[in-house]
Amino acid sequence: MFTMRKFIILLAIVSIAFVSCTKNEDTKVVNYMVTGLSDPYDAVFFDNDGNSISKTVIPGAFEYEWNKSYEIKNGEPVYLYIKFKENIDNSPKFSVGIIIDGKYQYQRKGYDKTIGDTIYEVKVAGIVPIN
Amino acid sequence: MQKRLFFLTILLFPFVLFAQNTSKIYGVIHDANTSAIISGAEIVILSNKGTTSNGKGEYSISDIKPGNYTIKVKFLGYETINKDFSIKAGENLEINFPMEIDIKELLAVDIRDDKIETYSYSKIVLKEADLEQKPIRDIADFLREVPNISAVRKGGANLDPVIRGFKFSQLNIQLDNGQKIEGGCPNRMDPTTAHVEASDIEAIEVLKGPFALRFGENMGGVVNLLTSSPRPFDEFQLHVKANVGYESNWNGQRQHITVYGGGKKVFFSLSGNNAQYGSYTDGDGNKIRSSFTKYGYTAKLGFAPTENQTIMFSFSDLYAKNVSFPSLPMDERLDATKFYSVDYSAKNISDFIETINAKVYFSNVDHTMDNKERGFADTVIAVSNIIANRFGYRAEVGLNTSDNSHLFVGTDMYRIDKDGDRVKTMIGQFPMKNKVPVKNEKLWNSAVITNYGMFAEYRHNYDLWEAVVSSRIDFNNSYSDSISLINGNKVDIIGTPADSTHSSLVNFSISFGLSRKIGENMSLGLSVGRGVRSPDMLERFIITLPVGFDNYEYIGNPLLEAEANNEIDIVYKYNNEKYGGLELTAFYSYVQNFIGGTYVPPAVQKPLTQGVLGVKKFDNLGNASLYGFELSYATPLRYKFRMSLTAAYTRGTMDEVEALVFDENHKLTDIYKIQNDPIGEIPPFNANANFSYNCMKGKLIPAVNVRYSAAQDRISVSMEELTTPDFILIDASLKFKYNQNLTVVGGVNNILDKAYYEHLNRRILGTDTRIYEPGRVLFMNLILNF
Repeated sequence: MFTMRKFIILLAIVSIAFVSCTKNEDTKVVNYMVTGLSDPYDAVFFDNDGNSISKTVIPGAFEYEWNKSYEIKNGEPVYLYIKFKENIDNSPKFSVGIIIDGKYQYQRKGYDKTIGDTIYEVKVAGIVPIN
Repeated sequence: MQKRLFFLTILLFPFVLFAQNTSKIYGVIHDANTSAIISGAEIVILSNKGTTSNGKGEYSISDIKPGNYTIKVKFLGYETINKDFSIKAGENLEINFPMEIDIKELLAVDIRDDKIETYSYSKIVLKEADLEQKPIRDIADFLREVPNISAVRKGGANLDPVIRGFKFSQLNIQLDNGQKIEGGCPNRMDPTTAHVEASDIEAIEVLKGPFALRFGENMGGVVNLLTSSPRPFDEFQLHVKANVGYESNWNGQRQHITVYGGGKKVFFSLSGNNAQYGSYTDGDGNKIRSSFTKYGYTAKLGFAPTENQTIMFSFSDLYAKNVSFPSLPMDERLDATKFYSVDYSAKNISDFIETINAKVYFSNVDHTMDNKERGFADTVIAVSNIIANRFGYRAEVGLNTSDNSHLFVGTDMYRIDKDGDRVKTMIGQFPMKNKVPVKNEKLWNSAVITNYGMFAEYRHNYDLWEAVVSSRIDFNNSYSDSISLINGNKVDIIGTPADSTHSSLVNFSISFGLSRKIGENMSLGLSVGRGVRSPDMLERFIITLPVGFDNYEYIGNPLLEAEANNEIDIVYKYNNEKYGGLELTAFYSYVQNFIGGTYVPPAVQKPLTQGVLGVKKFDNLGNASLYGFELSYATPLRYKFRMSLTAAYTRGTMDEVEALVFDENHKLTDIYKIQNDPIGEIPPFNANANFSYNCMKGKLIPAVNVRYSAAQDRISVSMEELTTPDFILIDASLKFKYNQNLTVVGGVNNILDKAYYEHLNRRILGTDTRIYEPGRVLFMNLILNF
C-alpha cells in the first residue's frame, strides 16, 4: 500500500509539472509568393516580428517568382503589398498570395488599383488562423 | 390575593413542569492534538436541536427532555463526531469533544477566527462538498445557484457575479480573507472570480449587504473565496487529491491535482490545473462560440513556529487562453496572472488578545485581447494589452473585551496601477511611406488608485441578544496621466489633462445589527448599514471604449463622487427538529450617487468604434432603490429524503435618468428625462427545488433539481434593455462515494435540452440575439483522495 501511495504521489507530481508547464505557442510557416512578374517591383510586407519591410524585388530569371518564408505564431497578421508597372491583364500566371503551411490562405490574381494605367497596386492581408 | 396566586400557579404550571423535566448538556470543543479551542463548531442533537461553540469553544444546549440521544459535532477540517448519550430529568451533563483533524479534508479552510454568526444579515457558506458535486468550470457560474445571485455572461467562461442587483465594483470579491485581484480587461473579461481556479476553492462565503466592513470597502456584499491551504501534521505525511471532470456538449475536460503534506512545523501543498473546453450548442442545436483553455499551478508553504502561530507563503501562476466572448468586440487571447501572498496568523495570544491576522499580497495581470476572430479583422486588427498590478495588506487584531463580547480592529490598504493600449494594424489599407498603417490608442494611461482604510467591529452577546456595530473609514486617492481625447476637429474638448485627474475621497461606512433568539427554534435579526465605495479604474480613467451592456462607448470621469448604499435587512430564521429549517430575508437599499453614463453629443466627441450609437461619460446619476427577498427551506439533514426550496426576487429603480431616442438610421432624435426607470441587469423572480435521497448509508445519493425563472419584462428603458422569457430547467445527478478514496459524481444538466438564456446574458455583438445557455450536458467528476 505504501509503495502504491508513493507511486501515486510520484505520478501526481509528474502530472502537475506536465499540466502547469507553460504551453508552447503553436506556429505556422508563412510564404509570401509573387508569380508572373518579370520586371522589378516594390513590395511591402511584414516580417516575423510584425515589422513593415519594404523591398525592391528583382524576380528570378527563369520562374519570375519571388517568395519569402518564415515561421510565425498563430493569430499574427500577415501582409503583402506590391506596386509594379508591368501590364498583367493577359498574364494567367500572375498571382500575389500568402501561403500558410503549404496552402494558399489569401490570394489575388489581379490588381486592386491602378494609377494612370501605368502603375498597379495589389494587397493581400489577413491573420494566421488561430486554430 | 389567593385567587391571583391560584391563577398565577395555573399559568406557571406548564413552565414549572417543563423546567422539572428538562435538562442541559454543556462542554468544550477543542483540538485533540493541540488542545486549541474550536469556536464556531456545529453541535446538533440528532433531534435537530443544536448550537455552535462560542469564542472559548464552549457550548450548551438546554431544555432537553430526558432520554437517549445521539449528538453530532462538526467543524470544517475535522472528523465529524457522533456520540450517544442519555440524560436524566434535571441533569446537567458535561460532554467535552476533542476533535481529530480529518486528513481527508485537510485542505479545508481555516475560518475558525470568524466570529460572525450573522443572525442579523444573510451569510451563506458553500463548502467543498457542494462544489464537488457540480461540473464547475467557473466560480460565478456556480454562485448562480445561491438565491439572489446571478451573473453577467459574455461568453463561455469568466462570468461576473451579481448579488441583489449589485455588481462589478459594487461588490467586494476577494480571495482568502482580503486579497483582491485587479483584472486587466475594461470589459471585465477577467473579473476576480475568473482569476481563481475553481478546483482550488475549499469554501465560499457570501455576506450580502453593506454590513460586513472588516474586509475592505463594501457596498453591496462580500464574496470571500477561500482556497485550499495546507495544515500541520503530527508526523510527516504526504497525500494526493485529484479531480478529473468531463462535460459533453462542450467536449470539456478538466484535471486538477494537489499534493499536500508536511510535518508539525513545515507543511505545503502544490496544485496544478488544466481545463480545455470547446464551443457548446444551445437547446436548438445552434453553436455558441464559447471555447476556452485554462491552466496553471499554485504552491503554498506554511510554517508553524509555535502551536498558535502560522506563516503561509502562497504563489499562483495561472493562464487563460483563447477565451471566446461573442458579445464583445474582442476575445481574450492570453491572460497571465501571478499572485503572491504572505499570511501571518496567531491565536490565543493572551486572555485579552485572541487573534492576530495579517496579510500582504501582490497580483500582476497581463491581459491581451484582440478582434482576430471578428469579421472586421480583415480590415483592422486590433490588439489590446493591459497590465494591472495590485498591492495591498490587511492587519487585524481580535480582542476578547469580555466573556461575551469581541472587538476586531485593523487596517487595510491597496494600490492599483493600470496601463494599457490598443494597437490597430490597418491591414485593409495600402502602405503609407512604405509602412503598413498602425494606430496606437491608450486605454489607460498610467492610472493609479490608492486606498487606506481603518476598521473596527464590536460584537456583544447578552442572553438571547446579539448586537454588532461595524465601521470603517477609507482615504482614497487617484490620478492618471492625461486621458485627453482629440475630437474630429483635432480639438481637445472632452479630455482631462493630467493635472486635473487627481481625486481624493474620504468615505465613511457604518453598520448596526441586532438579533434575538426567540425560543429554541427561531431568531429574528435586523441590520442597518451604509456602505460607501470609491469609483473604480474603469469609471474614473478609461479612455473611450464600449464597456457597458448598452451600445455606447464610455469615457472615464476622474471627478466622480463615491457611490453609497444605505440598506436595511430583516432576517427571520426558524429551525425545527421535525420540519427543518426556514430562512426569510428581506432587504431595502437606497443608493446615492449611482454611477452610470450620460450622453456626450457627437459635436463634443465622436465614437472611435464602428457600430456604436454614441459616447457616454461615467457620471453620478442620482439616487436609486432596490428591494427584494430571499426565502429558503430545507428538510432536516438527518432525513434520508431531503428537499430544499429557495425563492428570490429583486426589484431596482432609478429615480430619474436620461433616455435617448434614435431613428432607423441610428440618428439621435430626442433626449428626455424618465422617472422610475428600472435598473438594468436585474434578474427576474427565481425559484428552485432540490430533491435527494440518501441510499446505502449515504454512499449513493441521487438528486433532481427543478428551477423556474420568471420572465423579466421590467427592463431599463434608458439602457435599451431587452426582455427575457421565463423557463423551467431540470437537472439530475448521482453521487457515489465508493470509499474514502474514491467518489464519482455524474449527471445531466438541462435534461429537457431547453433553449433558453438568463436575463443577464449579453447580446451577441451587433445583434439583438442573446447568448443562449448550453443545451443538454452530461457530466462526470472523478474525485480521488489518498
